[in-house]
Formats: sequence, structure tokens, C-alpha cells
Amino acid sequence: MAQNNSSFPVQLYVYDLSRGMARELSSLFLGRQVDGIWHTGVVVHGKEFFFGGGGIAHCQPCGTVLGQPNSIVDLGYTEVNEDLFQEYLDSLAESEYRGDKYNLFEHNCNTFSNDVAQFLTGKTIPSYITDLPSEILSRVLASGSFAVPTPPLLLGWRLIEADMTVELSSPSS
Amino acid sequence: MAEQGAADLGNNNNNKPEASEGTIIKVTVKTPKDKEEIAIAEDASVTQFKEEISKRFKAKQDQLVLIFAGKILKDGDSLSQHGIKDGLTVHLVIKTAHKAADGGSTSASSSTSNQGGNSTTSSPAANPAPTTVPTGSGHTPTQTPNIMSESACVLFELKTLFLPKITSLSQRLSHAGGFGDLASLAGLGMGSANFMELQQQMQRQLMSNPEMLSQIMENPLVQNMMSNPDLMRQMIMANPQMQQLMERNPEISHMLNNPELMRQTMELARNPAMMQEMMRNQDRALSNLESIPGGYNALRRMYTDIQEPMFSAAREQFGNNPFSALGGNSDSGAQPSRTENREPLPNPWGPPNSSNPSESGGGTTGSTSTSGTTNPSVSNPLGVNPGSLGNGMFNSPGMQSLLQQISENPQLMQNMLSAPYMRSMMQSLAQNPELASQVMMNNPLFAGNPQLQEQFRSQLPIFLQQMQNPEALSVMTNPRAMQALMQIQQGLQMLQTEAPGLMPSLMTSGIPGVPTGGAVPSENPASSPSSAATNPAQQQLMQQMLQMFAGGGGSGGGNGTSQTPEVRFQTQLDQLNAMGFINREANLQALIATGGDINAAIERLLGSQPS
Repeated sequence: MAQNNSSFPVQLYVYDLSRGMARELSSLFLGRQVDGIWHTGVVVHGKEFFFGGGGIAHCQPCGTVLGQPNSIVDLGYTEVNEDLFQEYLDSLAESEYRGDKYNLFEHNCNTFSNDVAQFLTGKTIPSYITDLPSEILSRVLASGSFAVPTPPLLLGWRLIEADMTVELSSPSS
Repeated sequence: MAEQGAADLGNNNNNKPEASEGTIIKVTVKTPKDKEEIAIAEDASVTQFKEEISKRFKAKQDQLVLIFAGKILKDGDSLSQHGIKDGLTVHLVIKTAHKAADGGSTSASSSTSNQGGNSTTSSPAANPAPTTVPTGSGHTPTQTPNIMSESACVLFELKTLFLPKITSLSQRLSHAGGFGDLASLAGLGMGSANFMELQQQMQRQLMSNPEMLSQIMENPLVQNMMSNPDLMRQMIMANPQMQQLMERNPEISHMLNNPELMRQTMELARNPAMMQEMMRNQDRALSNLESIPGGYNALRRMYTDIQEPMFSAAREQFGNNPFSALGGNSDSGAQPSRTENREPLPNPWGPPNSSNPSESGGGTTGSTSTSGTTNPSVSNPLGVNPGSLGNGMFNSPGMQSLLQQISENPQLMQNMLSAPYMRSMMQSLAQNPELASQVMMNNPLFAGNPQLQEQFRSQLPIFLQQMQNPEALSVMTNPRAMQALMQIQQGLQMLQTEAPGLMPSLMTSGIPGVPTGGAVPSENPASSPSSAATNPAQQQLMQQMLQMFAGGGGSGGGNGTSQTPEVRFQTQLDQLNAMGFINREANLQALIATGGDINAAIERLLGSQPS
């Protein structure tokens, strides 16, 4: 019974895609505070796994262009070894997590991280990450146009000013 | 336990759950592809469990690997040992027979090619802004705030214009292999065949992630591209809307060609504080302008000449914001200066609803995609409230003027509806009613009115289906149809105030008849001379829509109309014929547009005759 259960630590690397700008600007553009645009990857067996438009991918930990993660969440340990995990990922890649299944809001990297975390450790990833899409979607679509009219408005005013300046300086017009 | 497990292995073949006493629990077994619920005894062993599973999943027992809470379940264990209880989920991996020993690092469809190479190439996926042209040349606008404001506008305009270009660019540059969301933008291009969907998603992401813009701009690749002013100018010119704008307003092309401006704009994008500063300056400058004699008029003129088309151009990209007119009605000089004075409408807010005035005024931040869902409301001025037809939001004066604006500007509606962005947005909303309802609920217009929300929610699927119907869309782009709808609504309002008891009986059958009576401002139709054919089919559809909505939305919209326009207007048609208007088709159209008002129809016919 006392078999050699090797145990591998599992971590979740959380990145903020907006580099902090979401925290600053989200209330401006979305009408409500969003602390970050989260991207996650699961790190196990010395590799970081994530899901993107090209399907499931892996790299060295912290090896994405995002660099160092914003935060690292410890998910515990798993007995699943590399081979088994790879088979699992293969299955996923053929079904749920093909590249074309990527949906920015409903089936994204965080969905993947959540599923993998549950497989490996039985735990889910923090809810503030998985809840993000619905929050943003509802906010963006509700108030996104706030940002849109403003610049054309500004353009209009600018041209008005330009014209005004011209008009005033050349009263003959 | 161990012996029990070993003993069971051989003995307990039938594996009936009652083999060991204990309660039966239902455990969900989940594979990457599949999910099944398996009933097993609480104190069963893993082996027994695997037997069940192998039957269910049609796999050999030794191919099964069970994982729970991070632990691999060994044959000798028991379920309770691992804490597997009723309702919990156990993960299963079915090892393939030819188990690739080196793991699937080669066989994984997940690309390992993502490392390194793709990182920079895929980041320009989202969109950029103008360039950093090192040497400013040409004219520098006099005041800094002006530069900043111009910059901001250019920034945004260009952003919308560039999105498609950059998308295609990124597609060409990037290869398979995404890493996270950033590159998935590029991957999206590869993955999804639907370009428009990509654009839509990118826009969405952009809107939710302003920092991305700065990030993108700092990317050397993007900067290189952007620093080529000719390229940029080319891209700008390529956009037909910009071309239109530039023809009408040469100042715009001057502005776009100003490298100093571009540089400023880019800096502006980097620095949100600067942007805010600029906006404040803008406001200040504006108020200064107003005080200059003659300034206000000039302002208004410029606004109508320039802002409107600019607005439309920008809005088309992002989907329309029809509610901008609602809040800014006092500012939209377009309305009063260009159109005839509309008669004031009867009290739009029926007794039950006194909270609406605040809603309708506050609609400035109406959404872009709820414009997709509010489209039905815009084109369906009925307001669709089975409860009270006069109900607030849709009958607000702001909405009315909006409708008028839309009817006068069919191009606007056309553009808006035909924007591929809009279409795919509507499609995705249609497929996902929950999403749509969520989106709508967050629309500030609905925020204060739960009753309205409920009504909308219930009718939502039908709305969305209607939106999908191309006929419905074409009806909405038909200005006369819009006007007719408006007239209907006005008529209904009148009816409601004048004869409240009459309404229920009128609802289903009387509606087509309403436009012929009621408070129909007769000068309404006169402003649109275009003779786009309102064929009877469209009319039919419109009436169906009306009936359906008025009937509480439950009837499914397929109701036959009670009377075709021809029948309804038979008398009038005859009269027109007698007067010498022999073009029956044109007569019919005119009558429909004017709601059966002969005199107005005659005016229409006379006005549209080629002279």
C-alpha cells in the first residue's frame, strides 16, 4: 500500500494583462472597478501550461512575454506524473481545448487553468479570475460607447476652434 | 483493506453495488471528453469502481487512471479512503494503448512552438495608434490643448480604422501557438475563419484593456510601422468613411497629415493623465468659445457639419450608440435646425410610471451592443410593454427625436445594421440569450425600471430572432417604415390616453388600423423624398412585428395580419385613382407612409414625381 506516491507541486501563475492600467482606468472606461485583466497559467512538472488561440501550449515558467506573474497561487500537490498529465492534455487538446475552441470570454486561458487545476489537485482557481469575463462583458458592452463618442467630439471641437480662430482673425470671411 | 481489495479482485466480478453493504453514492466520473455518473457503494474499492467505469466507458480496466484531489487512486484503495462521497467528481484518464512513452510533447496538438518566436510578432494583434514621427514639420496648432484634443480624436479614429489592418497584419505575422490572451488575439485570426468575429473580439478586448494600446505602441515592430507616415496616411485614406469625411471637410485631412499631431496623439495614448488634462482643457476652451460673439452659432454649425459624420463614422465601427441623442438633445443642433418642428407628443409617461423621465435623460452612455438589442426598441417604438403601451422610455421625447433622426438618415441605420461587427454581435447575442439579457440589464436605461427589464427579458428571444431576420432589418432601414412605426406608436399613445378601456381589444386586431387614425402629424413623411420601394412584403412583416409585440411577445411573431394595406386603403386608393394618380404601387406606398392620409399622400406623390 505504501507505494511511492510522488508528489508534484502545482501552482497557478496569475498575470495582469493590463499591467496595472485596468486598476487605473477601468472605472473610467467600464464604469466599475476591475483590478486586472487576468491571464493564468498552471505550473507543474517544471513547465507552465496555458491555453490560447493556438491551443494548449507550454513553456518555461515565466517564459511568456508577460514575464513575471503578478501573483502565484499555490494549488497544492498532485500525484499525477508527467506522462499521465500529458495524456490528459492530449485528450483535452482533441476535444475541449482545441485552438478553435478559444473564446475570449467564455472559454479562455482561465477556463483551462481552472479545469487543469481541478484535475490535478481537486481545487479550483480563485473566483475573481473566473468571474472576470462576465463582469467585463456586461460592463464593456453597457458602457463601452462612453469612450467612443468622446474623441470624435473632441475632433469636432478642435475643428471648430480652428475655424473660429480663422474667422475671428479674418473678419472678411 | 488491502486483503479485501485483493479478494474482491477475483471474487467480486458481478460487482453489484450491494455486494458490500453500504449506501450507494453517485460519483461523477469526468474525462477530458466525457462525463458520466456512476453509482457505486460507498465503501467500494477502487477496483470495483474501475470495473463499473470500464463498462461504462468501454475501456479496459488497466487503461483507467483515476485521480481525485490530486491523488491517483490505486486499485487497492477504497473510495472512502480518499474521501470520495456522493456528488463528487473524480477525474479519469484513459490511457491509450500505444501510450506514447515520451509523453506527448510531440504528439500534443498543443504547440510547443510557441516559445520565443511568436511573442513579439503576435503582440501587434490589437491595435495601435499613430506614430512617433520624430521631426515635427508643417504647422503647429497654436495652443497645446488643441494639439492634445486633435491627438485624442485622431487616436481614436485611427484606432477604429486600423483595427482591421492590424488584424490582417498580425495574421500574416503570427504563426500557430498562442500564449495566453495577448497572443491569442493573433491566434484568433488563425483560428477563427470569421474575420469579423475577430475584429469584434479585438475591439471588445481593446475596450476593456486600454493599457494594451500603450503596450502595443511600445512594441518596436509597431513603432516601425507607425513611423512611416505614408503608410499610415495610406491606411487612413483607405477607409471609405474617412474619405467621405475628408472630402467634405478638408481640415480633417490637414490634421491627419500633421506629424506633430500624430506624435502628440501617441503620447496622449500612453499617458492617461494627459488625456484627462486635455479633456479638461477642451471643456474650458469650449466654454470660452461660447462667449465669443457669434461663437455659439459657429460652434453649432461646425458641430453639425463635422461632428455628425465623424460620429457616424466612428459609431459604425463600434456599433451605434443611438442613445447619444437622448442625453445630448440640447446640443444636437442638427435636430432643430434641419428638421421641421414636430408636434409635441402626448404625455408619454402613463400613470404607472413616474420614474421614467430620469431614465430617458440619462441615456448617454447607452451601450454599443445594446444598440443591438435596443434596435428592436428603436425600430419598435411600441415599447412593447404589454402592460402599458404608453410606457416611458420609448415614448420619451428624446426617443422620438432619435427616431426621427433615424428615419431621416436611412444611411445611418443602414450602416449601423450592416456593419459586420453589428451582425456578429447580434448573432452571438441571439445564440446566447442569457448574455443578451445580462447586457441589457446593465444598460443604464433599463437600470431604473425593473418592470421594463422583466418585459424585455421575456421578449428577448423573440427580439433576437427578429433581428436575425433580414427582412426585419430591411424594414428598419426603410425610413418610411420607421415613420410608420412612429405613427403607430403615437396613435397608440393617443388611444391609451383617450380610451384606455379600448386598448386591450385593439391590441391584436386593431393595430394595423390605428395608423390610419390617431395623432399623425402630417408633415412627418414629407422630409424623405426617396422612393425606396416599400414592397408589400415588408409591410406585412412590419405589421406582423407590431402585432407580435403588442400581443405580449408570446405569439411568436408569425401572426397573419388582419388586413393588408391594400385592403385597408382601398377607399383611399380608389380616390387617388379617380384623381388621376394611376400608379397604384406608388399610391399604396404613399398611403402607407402617411397612414392613410390622402392629402399627405398626394403631396408625397407630387413631390416624388420627377420634375
